[in-house]
Parts: sequence; structure tokens; C-alpha cells
Amino acid sequence: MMDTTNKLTEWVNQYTDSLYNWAFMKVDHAQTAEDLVQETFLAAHKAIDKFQNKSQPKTWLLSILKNKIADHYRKQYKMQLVNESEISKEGSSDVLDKFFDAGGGWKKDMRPGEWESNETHLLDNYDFLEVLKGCMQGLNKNSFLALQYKFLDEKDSKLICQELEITPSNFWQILHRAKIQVRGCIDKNWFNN
Amino acid sequence: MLSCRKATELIEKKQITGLSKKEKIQLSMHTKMCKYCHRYDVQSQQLEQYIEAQIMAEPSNGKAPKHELSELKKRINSQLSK
Repeated sequence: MMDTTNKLTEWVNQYTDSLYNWAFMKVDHAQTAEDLVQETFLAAHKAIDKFQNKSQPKTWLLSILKNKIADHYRKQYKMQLVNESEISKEGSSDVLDKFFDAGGGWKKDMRPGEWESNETHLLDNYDFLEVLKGCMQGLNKNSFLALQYKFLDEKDSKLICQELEITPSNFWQILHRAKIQVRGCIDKNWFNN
Repeated sequence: MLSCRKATELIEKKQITGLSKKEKIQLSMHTKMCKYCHRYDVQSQQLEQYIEAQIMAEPSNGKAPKHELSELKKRINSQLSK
């Protein structure tokens, strides 16, 4: 319908920039971000009947984009798992060995230090968010993707495991390794412990 | 007796699949006695909030490197009118 195409064209002109920004922040790759934005508008075109002015166009488009990004992560994650299972055969070390001694106790310089109890105001602190971002970017790809996937969509863990084709046990072990590293990094670089 | 290593694993497991009764008791006993793992437990929960905020944050305009989007828009619009 001409009407639909006109509306979509308007949206393309209006929202491409902000959708692209969002996508780029997530996938860190210009071409991929462009492709995801394109897929988003094409999907919106097909599903326009579902829109029905129930929400803001931007909100709706963003939700489609998030799904596309989640699909992208899922593909990357599966590829990554294949790569890493080949690497681990060569007996690579476990991330957890960095934090714990042979007896399973905390290594002296890795012991959790004290954090201020004033949690929520940190979320408004740009410098803190930059440190946090740096800590997350320091993760290996597997861990980073698992975190992104977990939080991007408020999905149930069971559903996430099904989609990524891993067991819940694998899932929490990967998350654990991711979080223990991020926690340690923030502990040292923000709270100076 | 749980090792600290095992305790931190259970702290994460608790969040995703939940713990067995035995594991709950073991963890509770450990964190009552080990201040580091107790801190880890508290901080791990705080971390959930921080990471979620980081991941869900809408990027403010201008954070992505400048990228010319007019070609993309043309391409999309021509796809849409097919």
C-alpha cells in the first residue's frame, strides 16, 4: 500500500540515525549496524498491521531492532562456542584460577574489598560507567556475549539456554566467570582496593 | 566445608537455576563466616544492576563515530517501495 510505504519512508528519514547509533553501540561494527537497521525497517514494513499506533514508532522500531540484535548475538555466540571448544582441547586455563588458590580460597590480592553502600547514585556517574564499560570490554568474547544476551531482552534463563543451545549449568558458569572478572576489575579500578 | 571458590559459584548458580536445600545451607553457613564471600554476594547483586544499566543504556547522540547514513536511507527506501 502506498500509504504504508510513505509512512515507512518518513520513519526511515526520521529514525535511521538513532537506530543506527543504538545498533552500533551494541555490535561495534558499521556495516553490521547498517544491515541490522535495514532489516528492522523491512520487518516493520511487513508487520505494519501490528503497529496500530499503540505506541511511539521509535519504541516499536527499537523493539524490532533489539530482536534483530539478539539474533545477531545468538549467531555470534554459537560460532564463538564452536571456536572455543576447539581451543579448550589444548588445555587452556580457567579464568577462576586467577582469583583462587589451589585450596579454593581467595588469593590475597583478589579478595573483595569494601564498596560504598550508596549504590544507585553510581548509575548516574559517567566516570563510573566508563570504568564499567572498560571492564566489560576486557572480557573474552564468550563472556561478553553471554552478558549482553542475558540483559538485552528480559528473557527467562530457561528460554535463553534453549536459544543458545546450552545447558543452564553452562550458562551460569559462563556468567559467573564474566561477573567475577567484572567485579574484580571494578574493585581495583574504581574502588581502588 | 565449602571453599570460597565453590561458594562464589553457588552465588551465581542461585540466581539462574536455584540451589538445592543442601547447597543453600552450605552457602549460608559459608557467607556467615567468610566476610569476603559475604561481600562478593552483596556486590554480585549490585553488579547485576550496574551491568543491566550499562547494557540497556540508550546511547546519547554523537557517541557513535560519525557515519554517513544517507546512502543507507536511500537503499532502505528503495527496498521499501519494491
